Amino acid sequence: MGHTDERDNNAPVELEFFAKPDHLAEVRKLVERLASKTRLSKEELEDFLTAVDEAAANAIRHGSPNKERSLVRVICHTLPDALIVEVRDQGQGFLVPYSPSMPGPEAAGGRGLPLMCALADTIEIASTPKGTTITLKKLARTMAPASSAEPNGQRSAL
Amino acid sequence: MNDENVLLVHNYDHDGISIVAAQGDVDLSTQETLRKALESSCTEQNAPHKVAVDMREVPFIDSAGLALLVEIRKRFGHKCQLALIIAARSQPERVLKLGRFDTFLEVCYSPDELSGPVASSSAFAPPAQ
Repeated sequence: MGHTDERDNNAPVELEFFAKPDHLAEVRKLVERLASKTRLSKEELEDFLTAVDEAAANAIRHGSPNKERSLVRVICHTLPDALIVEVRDQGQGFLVPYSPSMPGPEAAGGRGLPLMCALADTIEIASTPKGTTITLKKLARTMAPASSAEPNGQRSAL
Repeated sequence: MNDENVLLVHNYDHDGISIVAAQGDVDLSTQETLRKALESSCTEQNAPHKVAVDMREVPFIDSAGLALLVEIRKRFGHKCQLALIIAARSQPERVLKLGRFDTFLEVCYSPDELSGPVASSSAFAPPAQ
């Protein structure tokens, strides 16, 4: 598993791993470590961990044409009042629903994307036949200034 | 760094109710451990009975864990009533509510709050088709 140095506070931190569910815990632990550099509350962090986990799990389950030999990349950007995480896979892409709704409680599945939308503040999905990138952002509500510096100015349609 | 993700499961009985207690994160990699424990508890008796999942020491559950609960209910709901025990203001509580699991499963905060070993027959799900 590839891992970049976290000691440079301004540099994005990347994690690359083979598409195995065993790595989901490491993704969550990485995001949790980086969140200590932000002003996210415990609840905001837990919600964001759920969203990131769902994105990574989707990459493993649906975005890995070579199954456990496919690679998944997670890139984390830390800001004082926000955490931004990109999850990239090598899958064939999918048609992104405009407004994914939570399925009924007795549905077998389909909760991943709705949970991401509910628990991240913004979500951007770029999906092509060469792979999908899901970018999730969580803002620290307790200290939200009028304008926060963002690595890019794009807002999600979701 | 060792980031091993292990889910521990043990069983106990509370006032005639079989309880499967989980410790650790329930995600795509660990849900199989919980699945086996629930399958065992749901089939240990032939008579209708209740099985509660004690998740007070589960700090995290994702949609794979939710899907497991749905699956267990569908497969065994004709004779086994599933209930959940959760910690208040926890991640599992928020995720279960987002998924509206509190509308079709008994959800409480302690074993003492469980409604009893077996509720009315209407509480059982129809057999899986």
